[in-house]
Amino acid sequence: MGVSGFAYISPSTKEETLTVLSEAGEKGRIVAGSTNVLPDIRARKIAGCILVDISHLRELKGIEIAGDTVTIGSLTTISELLQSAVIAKEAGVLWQACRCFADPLVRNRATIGGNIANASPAADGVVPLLALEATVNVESKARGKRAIPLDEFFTGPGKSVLEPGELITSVSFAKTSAMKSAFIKFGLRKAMAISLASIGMVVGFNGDTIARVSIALGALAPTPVRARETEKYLAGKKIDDEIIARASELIKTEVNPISDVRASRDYRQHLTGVLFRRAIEAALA
Amino acid sequence: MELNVIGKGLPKVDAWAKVKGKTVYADDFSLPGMLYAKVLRSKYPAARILSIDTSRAKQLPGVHAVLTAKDVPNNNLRAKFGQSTDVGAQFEGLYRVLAEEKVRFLGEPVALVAAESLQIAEEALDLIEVTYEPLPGVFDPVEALKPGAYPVGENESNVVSRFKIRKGDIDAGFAAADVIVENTYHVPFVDHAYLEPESGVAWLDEDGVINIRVSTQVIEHFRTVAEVLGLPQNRVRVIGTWLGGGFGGKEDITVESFLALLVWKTGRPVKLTYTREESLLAHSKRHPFLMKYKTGATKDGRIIALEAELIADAGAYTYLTPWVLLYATVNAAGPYDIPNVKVDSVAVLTNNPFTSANRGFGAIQPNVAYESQVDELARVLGMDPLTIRQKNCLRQGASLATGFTFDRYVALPEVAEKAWQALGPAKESQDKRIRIGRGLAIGMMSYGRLTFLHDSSRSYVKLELDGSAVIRCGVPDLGGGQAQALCQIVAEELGIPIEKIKIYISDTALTPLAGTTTATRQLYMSGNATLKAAREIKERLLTKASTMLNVRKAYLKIENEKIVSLVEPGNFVSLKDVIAQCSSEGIELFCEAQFNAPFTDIPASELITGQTHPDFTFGAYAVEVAVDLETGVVEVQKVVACYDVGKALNVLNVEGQLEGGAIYCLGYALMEELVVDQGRLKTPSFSEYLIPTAADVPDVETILVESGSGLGPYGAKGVGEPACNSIAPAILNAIRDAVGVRITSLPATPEKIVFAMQKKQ
Repeated sequence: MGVSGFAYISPSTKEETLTVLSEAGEKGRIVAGSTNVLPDIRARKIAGCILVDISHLRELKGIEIAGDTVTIGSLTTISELLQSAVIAKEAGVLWQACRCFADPLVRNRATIGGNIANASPAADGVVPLLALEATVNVESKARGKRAIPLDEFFTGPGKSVLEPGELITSVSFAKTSAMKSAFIKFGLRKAMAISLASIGMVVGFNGDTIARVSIALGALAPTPVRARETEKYLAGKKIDDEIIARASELIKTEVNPISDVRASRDYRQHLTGVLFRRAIEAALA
Repeated sequence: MELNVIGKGLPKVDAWAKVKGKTVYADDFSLPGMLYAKVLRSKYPAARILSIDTSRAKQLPGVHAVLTAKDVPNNNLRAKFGQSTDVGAQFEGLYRVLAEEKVRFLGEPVALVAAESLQIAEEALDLIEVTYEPLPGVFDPVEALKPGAYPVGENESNVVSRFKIRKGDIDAGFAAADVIVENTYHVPFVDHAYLEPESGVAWLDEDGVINIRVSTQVIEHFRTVAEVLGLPQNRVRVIGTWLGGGFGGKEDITVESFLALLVWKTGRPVKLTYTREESLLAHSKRHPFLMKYKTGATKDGRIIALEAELIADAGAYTYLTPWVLLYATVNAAGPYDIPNVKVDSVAVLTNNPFTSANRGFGAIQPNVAYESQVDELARVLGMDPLTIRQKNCLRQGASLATGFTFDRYVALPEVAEKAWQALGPAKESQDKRIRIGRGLAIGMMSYGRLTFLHDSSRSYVKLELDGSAVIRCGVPDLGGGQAQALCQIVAEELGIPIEKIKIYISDTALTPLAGTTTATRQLYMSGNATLKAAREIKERLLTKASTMLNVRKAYLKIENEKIVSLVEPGNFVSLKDVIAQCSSEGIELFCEAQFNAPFTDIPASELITGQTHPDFTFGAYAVEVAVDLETGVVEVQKVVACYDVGKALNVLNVEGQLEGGAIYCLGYALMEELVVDQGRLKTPSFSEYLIPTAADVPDVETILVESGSGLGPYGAKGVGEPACNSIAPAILNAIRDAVGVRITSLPATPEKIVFAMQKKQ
C-alpha cells in the first residue's frame, strides 16, 4: 500500500515543528510512532495530509521528576515507560497499563503523546493517566503553552480539544507512591487486543478508610471517563464486601458503552462491575 | 525393516533459508521493467453493473492497461477447479474472471490495472467509473433456499449441491432410543489468515510462454489460465514458490488469471500482491454451516440413530463447494458405528464472500456438531466421555453410513484413551471465580482426494555420477514439509545422506505434475510416486552390484553410500562405483514413476454410497480449560493430541503439524469469526478479525500412534488436515464440563458464555 497524496516534513527542533504545524494548519498531521497513522492511511481514513514527523525530537523524550510532579515527554514510548523504575514506583497504575498495551513491537514504537492525541475511548495509555488526574501540556505558535486537564481533553471518539497547530509536549501528574494502584484490561485475547473495557484505579487510604480514590474507565463511553459518582460513594468509607458490591452496581450506571463487532453494550456493562471489583481487590492486595 | 532416515526427527531442507530470510517468496521476486497490478473491487454485495468507464484511468500517465470483463477472451468458464480428469457436472461450476452484468459479492473483482508503480495503479483505480444499480441480494442461506428468493446468479438456481445418506430405518431407530438429544449448531465464516497473502509475478518469456511465479497450492491451474486467454495449455507455465501458508486458501486460482491477462496485454512483467485487507475481503472463506442434529441412544449408551440436516453457505460462486459439501455429508455421522442414519445436506449461493477449501474441508464443521451431541448424550446417560466414544466408535471391519468398510486398523478407541489419560489427575481451581473443565473429542478425516477424481501423482528421481541425487516433483510446499518428506524417502531408499539430495518442486514446465497440495494428499500420493521411482533405481543398482560383488541380490543392502553384503559385511562396493558401472553400460539412473489412487465412479445421484475417499486418519483431542465465571474468558490450559499417523516419516514435522492444527482450530473454537452483515464485512482487518497470538497458545502435547496401516509410504497416513479436526468440539465439551453450558455456535466468546450461564441460573 503506497502512501501517495501525502506531503512529508521532518522538522529538527520543537520550534521548527511548531512553525511547520502553524503553517500546515488543518492539514498538518503529527506522526511519531505511526502505530495509528499508518493503519489509518492503509484504511484510507485519512488522506491529503501533511505528515509532520516528530519521531526524532529528543527534547520531547524522557521522564522527569520535579518535587512531587512526574512529567513524561510526549515522545516517550510505552516500552520506555515499562522499563522505567520511576514509573513503576510513582505511577503504578500507568506501569501496569503499559504491561498489557498491545504487544512488544507496538510498545517499542507507540508514544504516550500519540496515545493521548489519538483520542481513542479504549486507549490503554490514557485510562491510567486519567486515574492519575494528569495534565496534558501542549504548545503552539498561535496560543503558546496550554496545560489541559486530561479529563477536559477529550470530546468524543477520536476527538479532543487539541487545535490545529498544537503539539502535545508532555503529560504530567503527581506522584502516587503513597497510594495503591490497579489497572485491569479486558480484551478478547492476551496480546494485540483492543480493550472491550478497562479500569484504572488509584486509591489513598487513611487507616482502613478510603481517603481518596480516582477511577478511570476505558472503552465504556465515547471517551475515557472518570467514575465520579462511584468515587464519591467510596470516599470516606471503610471497605467491606457490601460496599464493594454496591459500588460495583453503581459504577455500571456511570457508563454508556456501545455495541460493536467486538462485544455488545450489555456485555461491556456487565464487565464494568467485574472490573471494578477486581481492581479494588487488586489495589487492596 | 530397519530404517535409517525415515522415522527420525530431521530439520526441513527449507528451514535454514526461511529462518535467515533467504527464501524468495512470491512477493520478494521482481523483474526489470515490471508493472504493478491492482484490482478494482465491487462496492456492493449485489448490484447490476450499468456501465464501466475506464477512459480517465487509461489516460493517467504510467498506466499501461485497464481491463474489464469485455477484455477477457474467455471470462466465464465451466471450471473443474484445477482437476484434470472428469469430475462430473455436479462438481463443476462457473469460474468468472471479472464481474459482468451483475456483481455477486462485495469485493468481487471488476477491473484490473497495471501501472508503473503501485501508487499510480491505486490512483488509476479511483479513476475507473463504475455505475451500479444496487439489487436486494440475499445473505442468509435459509432465505436463499426459499421459493422466489433473490437469484444470486443469472440463470442458475441458488442451490449449488444436495447430497444425502441413508442407512437403516431412522424412524425405527428413534422409536427404539431411550434418550434423544436435539440441537442446532452454527459455525461461522473464517479466514485462512496465512502469513503470506495472495501474490505472484508473471512475465512473457522469449519463447512467447506466459510464466507465472505464484504462491499456489495448485500449479495445474495453468490449464485454466490458458483457457481464460484462449491459448494452448503449453503456452502457460506456472512456477510455484515456497508458500507462506496455504490452508486451502491457495487451492483456487488467486492472482494467476489477472497476472496472465495483464502480461498478455502489456508484454511487460507484472506483479500483483493482495493487501491483507483484500485477502480478508475478497478471497475464499471456510463455509459457515447450520447443522440440525438429532441423536438417539439406548439406556446402556449405544447410539442407534442419527439424523443431520446441513445447510452450507456457498457465498457468491461455486468453487469447491460441492466437494466440501460431500466431505461434510460423509463425515456428518462422525466416526461412529450407528445402525440408523439419515443425512441431508445442501449448499446455497448467497451474496456473501465465496467459500471454498479451508484446512479440514467440510469435515471439521460437522465434527463440531456430532462431538457436541455425543457429549450431551453421555451427560444424559451418566456416562463418561471416553466410555461412550469407545462403545460406539468405528473399529476395523465396521462401516460408515455410506457402506464403506474399514478393512484396516481403526485406532479410535486407542487414540481416545491415550489422549484422555494424558490429561493426568483432575484438579480443582484455587480461585473461586475459575472453574476447570475437561473435554474429549474424536474425529476422522480423509487423506487423499475423492476417489472418483481418479487422482495420480508423478515424481522423477535421478542419481548423479558423484552419488548425489535429484528429485523433480511438481509438489507445492506449503511449509508443511512436503518437499522434505520426498527427500527423506530417496535418502532412505538409495542409502545416501539427505544433504546430497536436491529437490526441484512446483514447476509445470520442468517438474512432473504431482497434483495439488490439498486434501492431505502429497505424502500419500507423491510420497508413493517418489518411493516407486527410488525403488526402481535401487533395484537397478542392486542388480548391478550383485554381479559386481558376486552376491545374490536378496543378500544385499544399500546404506551409507555403499551396497553391502548382508552375510559378509566386509564385502561391499561403493555406490559411486555402481553408478559409474551403470553409467558406462547405459543402465538408466533415473526414473519417473506415477502413483494412482484407488478409482471409483462419479456419484450418480444425490445419494452417496460406498467408497468416496481412499482412507481416513483417526485422532483425538483432550483439553483442559479454565473458565472465568464472571467474564466468561476461557483459558485453554492443556491440549493433548493423539493421532494414528500410520508411520511418522519425520517426527518433528508430524508434531509440528499436530501443534499447528491444534492452534488453527483453537482460534476457530474461541475467537475467529468473519462477521458478514448484509454482505458487508465487519471484520475487515486483523484488528477486528482475531486469531490467537503466541500469548494465547498453550503447550500442545502430541502422542503419535504408529500403526503402520496407512496407504502412504512405509504405512504413513496423512495428518495435515486431520490435525485440526476435533479440537474445537473438545474445547466446547470442556467448557460444558466446567460451567454447565453448551455453546452451540462458534466462536465460544466470553460474552456468549457469560450470558449462557446467566440464562441457566
